Amino acid sequence: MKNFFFLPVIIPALLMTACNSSEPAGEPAAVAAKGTYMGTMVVDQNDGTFYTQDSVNVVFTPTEAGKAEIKMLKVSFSSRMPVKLDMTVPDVTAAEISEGLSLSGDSIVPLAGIVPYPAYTITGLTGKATPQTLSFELMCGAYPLTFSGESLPSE
Amino acid sequence: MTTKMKKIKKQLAEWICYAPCFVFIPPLSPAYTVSVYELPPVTVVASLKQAGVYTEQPLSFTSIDREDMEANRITEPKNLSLNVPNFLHADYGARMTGSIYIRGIGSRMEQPAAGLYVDHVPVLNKNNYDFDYFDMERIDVLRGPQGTLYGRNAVGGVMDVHTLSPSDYQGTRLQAGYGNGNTCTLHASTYQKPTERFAFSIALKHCSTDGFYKNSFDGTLADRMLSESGRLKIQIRLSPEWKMENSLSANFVKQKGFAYSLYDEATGKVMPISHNDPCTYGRLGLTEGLTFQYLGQGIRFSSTTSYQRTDDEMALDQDFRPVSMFTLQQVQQENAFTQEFVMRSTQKKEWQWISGAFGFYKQVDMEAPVLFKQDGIDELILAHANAGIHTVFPDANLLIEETRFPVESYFDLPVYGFSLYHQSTFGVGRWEFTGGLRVDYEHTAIGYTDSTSINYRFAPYMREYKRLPVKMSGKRSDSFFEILPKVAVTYQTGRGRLYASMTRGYKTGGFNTQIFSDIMQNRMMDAMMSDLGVYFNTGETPYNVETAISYKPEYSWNYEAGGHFRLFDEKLSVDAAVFYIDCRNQQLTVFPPGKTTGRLMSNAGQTQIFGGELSACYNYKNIRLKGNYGYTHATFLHYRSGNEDYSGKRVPYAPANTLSLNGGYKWALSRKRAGSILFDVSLQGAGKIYWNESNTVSQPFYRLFNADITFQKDSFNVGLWAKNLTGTDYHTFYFKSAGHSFVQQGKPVQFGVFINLIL
Repeated sequence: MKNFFFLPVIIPALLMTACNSSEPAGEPAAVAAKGTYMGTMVVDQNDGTFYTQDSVNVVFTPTEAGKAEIKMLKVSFSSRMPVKLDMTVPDVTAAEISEGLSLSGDSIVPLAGIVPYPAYTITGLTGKATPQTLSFELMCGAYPLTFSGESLPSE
Repeated sequence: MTTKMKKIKKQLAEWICYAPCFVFIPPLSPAYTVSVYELPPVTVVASLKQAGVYTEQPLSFTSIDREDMEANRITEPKNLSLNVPNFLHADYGARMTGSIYIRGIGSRMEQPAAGLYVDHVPVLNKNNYDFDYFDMERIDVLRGPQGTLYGRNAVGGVMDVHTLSPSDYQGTRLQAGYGNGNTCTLHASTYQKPTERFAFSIALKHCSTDGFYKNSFDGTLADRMLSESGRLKIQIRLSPEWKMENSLSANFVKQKGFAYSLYDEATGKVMPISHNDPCTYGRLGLTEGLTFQYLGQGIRFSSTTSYQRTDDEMALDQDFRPVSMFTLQQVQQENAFTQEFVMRSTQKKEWQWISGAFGFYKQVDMEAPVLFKQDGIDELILAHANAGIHTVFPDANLLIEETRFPVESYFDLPVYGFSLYHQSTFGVGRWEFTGGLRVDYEHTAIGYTDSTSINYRFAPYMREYKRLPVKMSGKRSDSFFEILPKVAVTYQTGRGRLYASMTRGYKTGGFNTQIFSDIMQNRMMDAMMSDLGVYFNTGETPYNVETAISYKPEYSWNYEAGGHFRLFDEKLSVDAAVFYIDCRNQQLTVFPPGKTTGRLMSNAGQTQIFGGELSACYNYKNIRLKGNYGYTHATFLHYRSGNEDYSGKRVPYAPANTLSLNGGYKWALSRKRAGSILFDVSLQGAGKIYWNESNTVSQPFYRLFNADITFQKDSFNVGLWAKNLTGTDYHTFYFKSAGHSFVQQGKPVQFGVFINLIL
């Protein structure tokens, strides 16, 4: 009988807890979208073929108000590439929208590892980041690239 | 036709009839009448584990007695090679690396493929297998798995060494010898029996040589060696039933070695030995063995306790070239204890049996730092890394500040095991049926701590050098529970015995220690590249540490048929055997691909081996003729390593053929002058030996001619000897290191003089 007595108290408390964890009340969209996303990257080889890389991890890090950094870990853009790189796209514009962040950017020199890589200047970057998903498309030099992934649970 | 001729003809017909049944023949303590040392007859030293003589056993064996050893100048285990069919104890350039191959089963590192017993004590460390032979009574080489009675690692066979017993032989022996290469041997021993209940012996041997090769880098001797050995034996008859034997032996070796030559695989050209860092080996080994024996009514009980201590140190210029790439300094201390109880029936009854219990504990502490030097940093690390980096960043360069850095490695390697075994033989008329079983448990572990650190810079993007420490430590353990059965049947003929047997062999698993420098090098590279955000497309790290550092046990089933025969009034002894071995997880030493610095023990999927052995010894008056031939066809049935498929290829390092032919003649001089002259000539050969799994490099069959002449008078003799008289060029070893091929050349012409005095 005692258990039934407490139910009216416990159930609303649990519901509140659940709401707190899935929809952080008042948390900025940039903070909510910060994290690592795993997904598929596709690079148009401009010869009618596409190079697809699965299970790519992308770290999305808002840096300051309205800016973000996209870091693609261990990626290659062609089967002929002899190495994989950590490719960082800095200075991405991240504008808050209702679902999260809208991403855009143009003429951004990426970093391959720690080395600026002007040969593959990023143009036409558009995308969207939410706490659950990250997707973007861009031109990496002359090569169209798309990524779509889902958030990995934070450690 | 005379009666004698008819008898000979009949015996010859019998022998021809038996011939197809022979599988092979090792000489059994042959009654070789030519005696270099006129020693009084001694009691045949019995193995604690064998009932009766080997000719009555369902196994292949070769017994080499003292006379044989002295006639063939068998002064160390490597000299046993080729005198025993399908047996090769190869010269790999130092007293540490002698590896034994029997019937295609062998091992270059880690666990030995054959067991070694010296005066009933099992030698646990493979490094101690290569020691000076002196005052040996007999060596029995048993071929094929002997796991039921001898346990772990007797997968290829067993070498059972018996030294002279002061209870059976008394006297003082002095020997001196000198040969080319400034080779000097001195040997002194005394065997005394002051009372009926007490006997003792002291034996000492010195051996030194300047060797036969020079290091062309600095003109120094490349294989100089000093070896000192001693043995103290005490035997006490405690009561009519009980006797005790204590044997304390020590051996010390200090040598330059590993005199490997760069080898051009395309042209077969061998370059001069040339390395700029020292290649040395030193060892101090101590073995204390205490045996109690009880001989009662129909029963014999023995207890053998041993303590073995080994301190050895190896220094290697691992690139074996006059460049400063990398060196290895391996120092290890080993303490081992063994205890074995054996009980067996002694009476010749329908049922004969043997039971035993064995336990051991071994602790190895090893320190094995690899020092990377400037050329190694440039060639093994930077060249590889920058080649990849330049494909993406043509202007960037990885730099390492150090001109040398060590990769420190410490290992803690404890292992222990227990086993119980029993074997029974039932006789029914001419038939004997044998069944045996051994239950074996072993636990092995490794504790490792590896560390290194460098300072690196990715120019021009990093202005300062950044320190990169890499550490790795961990513990692993594994245990093995094995059942090793044996079944055999023997049929006694009028002239000998035929037998068939089926036995299981087992070589224990363990951990690789020689791969850690490579793993560390990989981790360091990965850590640097990860720091830079660049990853080479070589797949993942070549090593899965969990699997790379361990290797599994090796198993085999040996199916064998053979016979032992004594013909023509025992003037001719013939032993033969044919065998088929199904080997699983054969342990092989492999070199990881590329310019790597390590090596590891790997397990081949399945190996099939078949072959035969034939030995014959004929003694007539002053003539002795002896021959041994072994054939082994060992192939991988299934073996994939990385991207390579070696299925169908021959197993490397094991010779396909071994041959020895000996002839001895004793010329008795007239009575006035007294004395006699002994002539002995021999031909030995081995090959073809493939040197790698892909069978692209090999040593063809080679032949060595040896001869010696001895003048003997009373207890004094003096003689000349020569080995490899024709100066045959051959290779005893091949391997790759850091992408280059190397060979160990066989010894050139050797000759010398010796003088012996028996008091």
